[in-house]
Amino acid sequence: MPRLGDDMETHQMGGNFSFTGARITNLGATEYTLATVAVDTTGSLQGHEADLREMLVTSARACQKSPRSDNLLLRVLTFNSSSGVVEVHGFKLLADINPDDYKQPTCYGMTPLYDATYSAIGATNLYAEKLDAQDFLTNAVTIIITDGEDNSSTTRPSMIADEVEKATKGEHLESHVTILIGLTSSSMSAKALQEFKNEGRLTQFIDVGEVTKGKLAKLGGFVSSSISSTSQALGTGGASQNIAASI
Amino acid sequence: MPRLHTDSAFHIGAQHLRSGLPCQDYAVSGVNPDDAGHAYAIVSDGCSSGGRTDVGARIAALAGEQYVLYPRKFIDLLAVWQILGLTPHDMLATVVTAQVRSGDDIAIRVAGDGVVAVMRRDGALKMMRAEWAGNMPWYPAYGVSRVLFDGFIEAHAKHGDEAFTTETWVYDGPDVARVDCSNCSVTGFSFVNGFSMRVPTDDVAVVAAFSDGVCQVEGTTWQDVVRDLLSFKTTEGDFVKRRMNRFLRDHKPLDDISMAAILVEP
Repeated sequence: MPRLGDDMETHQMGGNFSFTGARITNLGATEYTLATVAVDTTGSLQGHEADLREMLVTSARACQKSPRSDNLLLRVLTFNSSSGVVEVHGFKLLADINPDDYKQPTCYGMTPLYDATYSAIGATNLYAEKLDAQDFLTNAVTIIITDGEDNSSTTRPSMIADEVEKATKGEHLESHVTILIGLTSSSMSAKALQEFKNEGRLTQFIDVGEVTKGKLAKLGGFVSSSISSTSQALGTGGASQNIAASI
Repeated sequence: MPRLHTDSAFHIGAQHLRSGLPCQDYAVSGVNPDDAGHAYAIVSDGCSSGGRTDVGARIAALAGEQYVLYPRKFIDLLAVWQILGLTPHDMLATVVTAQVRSGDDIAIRVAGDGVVAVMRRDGALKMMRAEWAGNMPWYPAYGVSRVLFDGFIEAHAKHGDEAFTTETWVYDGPDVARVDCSNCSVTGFSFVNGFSMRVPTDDVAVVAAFSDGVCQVEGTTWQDVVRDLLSFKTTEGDFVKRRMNRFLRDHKPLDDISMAAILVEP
């Protein structure tokens, strides 16, 4: 469970999902990009624990150097069936994140991909709604990184699609880009992930192929540039046009 | 000692946007770096028919800030104009100033026209609008040119005692009332002091200054604009800018609009 101080508060979503976010009364800017990175830590990624950590550290560090870093709130999740969907930290200002604190994950268990996606998108919607009610302008980017299809979730793609539609139809988010990244060498898994992208009404699916140290390193750069592009698009009325279609 | 917190915002109006003119409003606010119990909120509104009054409004507001912070410092505005190649026409701008100082009344000064508002901790709100007939406000820069000054006097001669008017409204729970109005002729107006008032600081939560742009928002009254702009949801950081941005999503100011506010937190 994340530690809570005076600067973070807990919010309840539906079901057993909750999340934390920076205390809204403490936020000082006029607008924020809500960025979520959800990382698969299932058994099939054993051997890549250090690379996964390095990917998160690189992403966070690069975001901290962005000219828009004061307008970014970053949430990081990991997911596997052994620990469930774990919030490494909730929506936090970049200045309050120390990337060196990211621990090496323990990769074990099966893949609650739908639950992680639901948690990521649902939390973003709810937090954005609360920010909007307090006069903040927001947009969002959610990046889900997985090496395989779902096989142990309690939620369904239709529930995710409902959350995506809420973001689209509601006025509390200027835009919400959702990117599913597949690190798999199996064409069947890639096909299943493409189907999930369609059923869940996610924005984009990127098939990166088999996971390697080099690809995870590149992924760190992709994550930070996608977050940065999204932040720069805030206030334009639409989603960023500059998010790459491949890595 | 109460904690003082300030912010300000300004935005171009539809008329200037359409005609390619810059925003001629400016706003500045702050807490005195040498006295945490002293804060100020200043807005300035450049004349639309003037020359480079967007620059003039900024100079007027920033000069006002210097005067508030260093009242004994001589500010050679004429030298500033000369260095920048400005004329008196470029400097035609109103200035509304509000100051909160620990142990003293709230000091408000309107040089020209505009609106000021004071909200108590229980939500009771008092707002005062100062206005010149024919939308021809007094500009302090008239004081450096005999020709401009005489022209101003002549333009208002026909308005008699209605040249300059103020009206004060109070919103207290469900009760709304215009509690005061005053008027005077152009020759009865104090050009040196402008329109000044002092308000007891007791239980005050917010003091705000607005340009007369709040009086030119389509489909709504200036009183409702002020109430809307003072409905801060959160009060950290850019609290005025957030409220202004949200206000502009739903409203269309015809004229440039500016606001500066001081929060008094116990």
